Amino acid sequence: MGLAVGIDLGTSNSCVACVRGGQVIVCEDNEGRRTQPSVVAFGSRSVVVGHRAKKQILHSPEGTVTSSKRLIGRRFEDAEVQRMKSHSAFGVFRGDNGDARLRVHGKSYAPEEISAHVLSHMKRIAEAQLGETVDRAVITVPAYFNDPQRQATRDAAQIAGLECIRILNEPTAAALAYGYTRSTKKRIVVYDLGGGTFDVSILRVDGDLYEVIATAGDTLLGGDDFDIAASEELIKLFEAQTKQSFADNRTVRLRMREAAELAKIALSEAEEVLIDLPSAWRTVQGVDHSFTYTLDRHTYARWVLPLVQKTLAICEETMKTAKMNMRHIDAVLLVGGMTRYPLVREAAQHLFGRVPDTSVNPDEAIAVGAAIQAHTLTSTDESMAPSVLLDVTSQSLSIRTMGGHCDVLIPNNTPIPTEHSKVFHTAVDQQTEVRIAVYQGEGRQADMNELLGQFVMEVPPMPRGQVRIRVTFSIDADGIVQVRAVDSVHGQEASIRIEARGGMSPEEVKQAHFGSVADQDLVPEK
Amino acid sequence: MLDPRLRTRFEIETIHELLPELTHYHLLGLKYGCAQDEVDVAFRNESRRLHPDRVSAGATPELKAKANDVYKAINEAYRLLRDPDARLAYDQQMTSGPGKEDEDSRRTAESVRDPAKAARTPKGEKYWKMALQCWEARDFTGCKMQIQFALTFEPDNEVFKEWMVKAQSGLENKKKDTGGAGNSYRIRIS
Repeated sequence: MGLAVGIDLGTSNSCVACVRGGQVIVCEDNEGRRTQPSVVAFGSRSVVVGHRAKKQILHSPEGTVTSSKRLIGRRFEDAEVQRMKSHSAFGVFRGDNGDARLRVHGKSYAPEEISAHVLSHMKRIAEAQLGETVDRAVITVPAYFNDPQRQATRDAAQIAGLECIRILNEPTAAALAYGYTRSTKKRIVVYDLGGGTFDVSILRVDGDLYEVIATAGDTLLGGDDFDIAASEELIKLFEAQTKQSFADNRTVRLRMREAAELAKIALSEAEEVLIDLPSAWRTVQGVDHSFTYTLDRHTYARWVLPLVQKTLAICEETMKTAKMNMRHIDAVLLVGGMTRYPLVREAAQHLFGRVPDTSVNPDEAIAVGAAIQAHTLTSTDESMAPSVLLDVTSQSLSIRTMGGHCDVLIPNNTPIPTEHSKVFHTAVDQQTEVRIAVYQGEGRQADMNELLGQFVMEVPPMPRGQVRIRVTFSIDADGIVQVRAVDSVHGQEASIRIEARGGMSPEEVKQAHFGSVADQDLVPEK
Repeated sequence: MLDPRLRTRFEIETIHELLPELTHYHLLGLKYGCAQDEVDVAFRNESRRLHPDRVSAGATPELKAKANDVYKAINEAYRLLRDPDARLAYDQQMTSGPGKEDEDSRRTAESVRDPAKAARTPKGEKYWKMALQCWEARDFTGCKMQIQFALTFEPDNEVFKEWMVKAQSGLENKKKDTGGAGNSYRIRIS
């Protein structure tokens, strides 16, 4: 059997780490870089991933996929998918099962396949550094990822030829990276603002035990949104300057988006930055219009403040859920690339009333934690003391009742693994099916939440109320939902058919598996 | 000395077998009537010991499934006992069930000679003592569980085995006297 690693599969960047001889190794590529862009570029003959793919964005934007994590496990109709569609150079369309799919050079891909290319790239980097086969991984996801997003991440691993031994929540992984070198009793807050998502988790760390007390987040709030917000402002300025509308000009929008990202990075260090785009827009007549603007921190802060405030509101709400106030907190960890931005650091420092801990690397902590967990789950060697993570489910699991209300079965912040049973009766004589619609989310009405699936159970035809079915809903250690049912007549496991559930079918996943693809063009080159 | 992973495996197998009979108190290693602040501590201790991730490395799928079942039950026990109102309701359900006086087994308990010196290893003795405490409290299920733990360290201890039989018959008598309601310790949520 090969090695087990930890992979932080990020929206913008990914990182892989492994425990060896009691030490955590963050794997570097052949140029010594410790994180890789989660970017996949499709050429005419090959697929490239990471730094080389990112370089390709400028001359082949429509062949380069970025931020596909924002599409994974989502329905095409989701507002986020629609927004992504208008900001991406590659095509986003509705798949047969209703899921969001991508189109690159006329070929369609599931977001799972894009993630699989990134995972496969990380696997190769780890193998090159460690000199051994890697076949298993703990893969991290935002704590606020729901069931379809977690399932899809598992599928991506399978396509990449990796056994996913655990789906681990990113803030929990970061806490583990922070705690494993210390043996203390502490309450910590993990503020995780990455490329695409925001999570906050409050944990109690007691030696080798990590107990998540409460977690919350927003899967539509990350560095990408800062760039989108800033690029909208830049476009407004350019529109005022040229008296032109760029609402439908994809090239201009993409250039402004890139300028916004570079300006954000520059402003992490500098007080102001000069944005200079010599030919930002070329008219049909071939006249070049340049765009020059000096952006300072103050103006940038004004543009993105609503986003920062949103994270602070989520933090306050989570503290309330955990029944804690700021003076109960012993340490604040900032992880995710966006926490390098001074405004974000200052806001977090102000809210929690303490200087954030800087001992963990915001870009690597999640992969390090995942590697430690992979070690605990697979290795019997005690060179690193095993730790126990007690995580919770971030979203409530409920079923739809009469009138479209949600009946919560497993509330959010319930420790996992967990299960809950409920007895259902037939309501009509000779009824042959019982349908249960399962939802995830905090809305009181079913249609405010995410439909996980319709579970249809076949029952023997009998007078109404005589058939009782005990349905057990469980959430496993990966945060993935399972439903099983026992009917009272046979006392046997009832058959369950699942309708209206997205994701790739097992057959599709098998077909997409890199090892079984004959077409060499699809095999990513190193 | 027994490998700690192996010990955890034995404990999980044993608890899994007894799962339908164990109360929430058993699962957290608590005494009925314990102070509220003991619940958190007990949950953390049991989590450290019995969390499925502790045995995951090299475990068979069956053992992993059992460990998951055991831990789900521990989580459920914690969910109910940590909340004073839910705990009170659970306690009431417990005492209205099989907890009534049972003179027969009380007499049996009183008549036994002091067996405290039966254990031959420190680990075995730890569980053996707990087994005897359970017996005193007429908690035969808990008693069985602890003896089983003790037997993992001293598999040939005849006294342990003899008491295992006693605990079993104690449990059966208790069930008989209460109309077979031995399972009503378990709260069913539907």
